[in-house]
Amino acid sequence: MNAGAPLATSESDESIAEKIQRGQHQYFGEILIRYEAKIKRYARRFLTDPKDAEDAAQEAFIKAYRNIQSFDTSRKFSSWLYRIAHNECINFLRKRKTESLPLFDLDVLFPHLAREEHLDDMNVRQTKEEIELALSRLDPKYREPLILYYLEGFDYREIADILHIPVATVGVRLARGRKILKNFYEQLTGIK
Amino acid sequence: MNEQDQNNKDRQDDQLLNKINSGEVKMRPRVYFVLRAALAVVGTIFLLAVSIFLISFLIFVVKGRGSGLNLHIFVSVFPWILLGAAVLIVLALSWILYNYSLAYRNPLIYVPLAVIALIILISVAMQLISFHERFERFSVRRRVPVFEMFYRKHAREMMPDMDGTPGRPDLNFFYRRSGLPF
Repeated sequence: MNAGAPLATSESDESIAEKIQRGQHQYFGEILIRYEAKIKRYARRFLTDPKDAEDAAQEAFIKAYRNIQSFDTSRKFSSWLYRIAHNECINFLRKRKTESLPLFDLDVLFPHLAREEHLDDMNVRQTKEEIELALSRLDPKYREPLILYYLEGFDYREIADILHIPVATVGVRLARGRKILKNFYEQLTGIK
Repeated sequence: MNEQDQNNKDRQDDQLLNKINSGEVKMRPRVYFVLRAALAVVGTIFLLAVSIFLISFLIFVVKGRGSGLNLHIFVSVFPWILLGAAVLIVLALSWILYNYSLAYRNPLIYVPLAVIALIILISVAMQLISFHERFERFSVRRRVPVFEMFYRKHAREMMPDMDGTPGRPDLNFFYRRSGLPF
């Protein structure tokens, strides 16, 4: 990074966003340093086509800058930025029409009550492995919560904020996604 | 990351920052978002007011004028269009509210249910203070645009067996005075 050199490495994302809102544009460089790799990785896992992922991530940062005045600094910046990235990825999926994206899902209307699960380290490690192996074979509606929870480290509430779905639906999709993954993994490796 | 990847990354970062510094990518002003939020609030209040007016009116005509009708006539004269409009408004309201975290964090069904409950509660309260009886009288007497025609049209539709006169004898005087054909 040359232009807009890092300025505030110890500051929170939210206070950096506040500075950008006040017109100190150069701080956007710090946001790029902190999030560019993460957003690109997220887009790559979600979109599978690397070129689309690159474009989606780039567009997400442009939109984040354009709309930064709408960011409420009392909320979490990362959830806000990932929400923009999520919308961009969805736009790319719609354009490509390679995967079906239902406009409406019953699990949003009537989600079962699902409590946040806390898996032990070994289970988390195994699920991460399963996700990396079988990610592209998963339906986007299950793929995304799994990426956000296991690979990006968001909790249920943050995922609900990023995807704009009920917290209970996050739990439902994670549970179903894990089950589907397990089946794929068993088919691929033959390990039960 | 090897050196070439790092160089590519730096180039992309610089491109974006250069676009920002040169003004090619511009930040939307805060006032744009304030106006948008204000528009959403005004839209929500307007839609809520319209839906409350429609639902309370439906309760008013059913309770006051439709209770003496047999089912067949009731079904044929009931203002279904108003009910359909109220349902569409509830859906539009739910769609607007669904952008807020309190709405989308909970099951989707809660939002329309909460909107319907609120509308019915206020409509019943309006019924208790005889809002429509008073407002109908006021609208016809003062010839309030839109509302005069609204009450006249639906009063006539709900009481087709009265030679075109509305079902409220106390209002006949006002309807006659208005010079319209019922």
